[in-house]
Amino acid sequence: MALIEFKEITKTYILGSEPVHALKGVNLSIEQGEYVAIMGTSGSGKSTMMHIIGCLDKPSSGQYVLDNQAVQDLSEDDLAVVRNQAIGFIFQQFNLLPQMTALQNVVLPLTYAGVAKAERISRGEEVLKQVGLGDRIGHKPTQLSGGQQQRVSIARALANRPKILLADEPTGALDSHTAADIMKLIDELVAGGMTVVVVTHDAEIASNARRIVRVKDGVIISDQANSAN
Amino acid sequence: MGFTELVAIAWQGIIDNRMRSMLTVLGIIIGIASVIVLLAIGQGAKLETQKQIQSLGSNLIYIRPGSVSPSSVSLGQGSAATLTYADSVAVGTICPAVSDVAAVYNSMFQVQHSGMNTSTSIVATEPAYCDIRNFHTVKGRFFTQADCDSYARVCVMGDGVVANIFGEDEDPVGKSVLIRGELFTVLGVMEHKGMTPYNDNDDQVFVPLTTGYNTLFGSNAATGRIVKSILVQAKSEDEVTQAEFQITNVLRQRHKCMPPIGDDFVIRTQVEIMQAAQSVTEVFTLLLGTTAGISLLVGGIGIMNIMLVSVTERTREIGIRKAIGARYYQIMAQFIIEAMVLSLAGGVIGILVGLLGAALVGSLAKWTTEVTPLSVLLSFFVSIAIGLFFGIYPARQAARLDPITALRAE
Repeated sequence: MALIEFKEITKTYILGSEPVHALKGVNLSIEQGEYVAIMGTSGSGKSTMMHIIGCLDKPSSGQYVLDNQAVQDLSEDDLAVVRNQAIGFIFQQFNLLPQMTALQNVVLPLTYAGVAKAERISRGEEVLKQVGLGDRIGHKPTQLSGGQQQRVSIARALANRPKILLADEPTGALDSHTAADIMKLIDELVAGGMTVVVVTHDAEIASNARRIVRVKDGVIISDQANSAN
Repeated sequence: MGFTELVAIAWQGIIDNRMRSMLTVLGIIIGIASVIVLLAIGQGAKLETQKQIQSLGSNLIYIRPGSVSPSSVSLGQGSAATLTYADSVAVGTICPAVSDVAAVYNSMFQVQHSGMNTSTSIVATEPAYCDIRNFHTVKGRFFTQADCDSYARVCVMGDGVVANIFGEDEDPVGKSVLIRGELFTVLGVMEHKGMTPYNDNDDQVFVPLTTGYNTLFGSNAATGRIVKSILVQAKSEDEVTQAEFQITNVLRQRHKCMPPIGDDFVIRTQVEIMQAAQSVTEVFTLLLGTTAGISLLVGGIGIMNIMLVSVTERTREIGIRKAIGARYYQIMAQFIIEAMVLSLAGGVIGILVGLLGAALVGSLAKWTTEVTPLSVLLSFFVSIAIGLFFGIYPARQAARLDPITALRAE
């Protein structure tokens, strides 16, 4: 069984009085350890796909099985637990809490998971070391560069040992040099066995992935292995 | 996730917005402190009244004539001339629950001393008056039964009268004064008593009842020796009701008051009179309490207002927390605890400020203030309740936010 299984997923919003069909029957299957890029222009439905994969949103119809668990019918609260336990988010805007230190940000998912304090701190320090910020754990986001902030955000995503890393335009707010560093870090994580899904409009970023799924107007128009890799 | 974790998260929210938190707390401080101070003032007023009851003697019973209504116009209580000196003697000798009686006849007359004069209440009474009213001389002495028996032309003055007709350094004891043109010797000066409901205790001159009848009021044994009131002391506070009952019976019998003829006298106990005064202070306390309660309510709305602003301002933060797995109750708890910490801090500081304020009012305004443990306890729990009540709505708003929308917020 695949780790992520989309069966005829649709998503319809009501915008004003007009229904907007963001996804029109998507079938997708992602195995454990895959590195997938979901590509598309803005309005293609790729963000909606990411929200559904990340359990931030529920499909209008269809079935979504995540790690052998049907999640389309879960309550808001159960989805929060799934997000906490199974998914690590990496956002374009980093989305760190500005008043907290790097370590405090990283351990936040563990706090919500109910992990004991000593365990939280040792795990937080471990993942911060893993992303190369072992010496910056007491810094606040404003005292860190963009690349370092994104590393903190990756460390936070890793903290609760998720099944999937879900990155939404992870380099969108970074210069090309720093972007390359971040993509290298993601490559390392994939090499370590992590399942990674990157959502992007940037072909160069997508080219790092081993499989590229192209989305347009709410349907998948192509799904192929990346020949470059 | 434990309670301490939730408190830690809420606390972080508070110190991240120090200035705003302090201003919010200030609203509660003012509310709680005013509750404490105003209730302390109300309680002080109540205690003051109780002290007055004690000082006047709570065993005290007044008997006054009833009212007469010529041509159906009531002239008011005491207008009938039905109470006599013989009634007073009868009450004193027959009623077992009565320990002492003093008949009183009073009228306004002019009092003169070396060119100064004042018009004051001349109270003709018996020596027992002092003990019954718990009202004694500070200088000289009160008149005795011997003075009464000998129709002595002596008087005892209230300190208000002394201040009116004697010089500052002059000792009135032994001096002569003219009352309604008649010569009297001052025997003593009464202690300062202040105002009680219905009369000024210090603006009075006391003379023996017998002397009063003979030289001032022009009534004698032949006219039946009418009295204006009879002061009665019950043997103890517990026997006041019994005494009242016995007096009623004695007087009904003497005055032949039987249905359909109503009583031609009125009996009032000191306790009843003070209860009336006390009900005034209770209204006063209620009024003060209500005012304070309103300011507390405003403080509570302040908390809700700030919490709503805070939720709006921190929409993105809430989105982030939800995205990484914060559950509904965890977000809800964060904001409720935040509101409760604010209101509790305001409550505790407000109680301290209130204690200080009550002490200050007591020492500066010379009012009796009394902070009761109950008002402190009440304020404490009210402040917790305010946080809870006014925190729930904003917290719900936060917890219900859609994570995707919240993450998009700037």
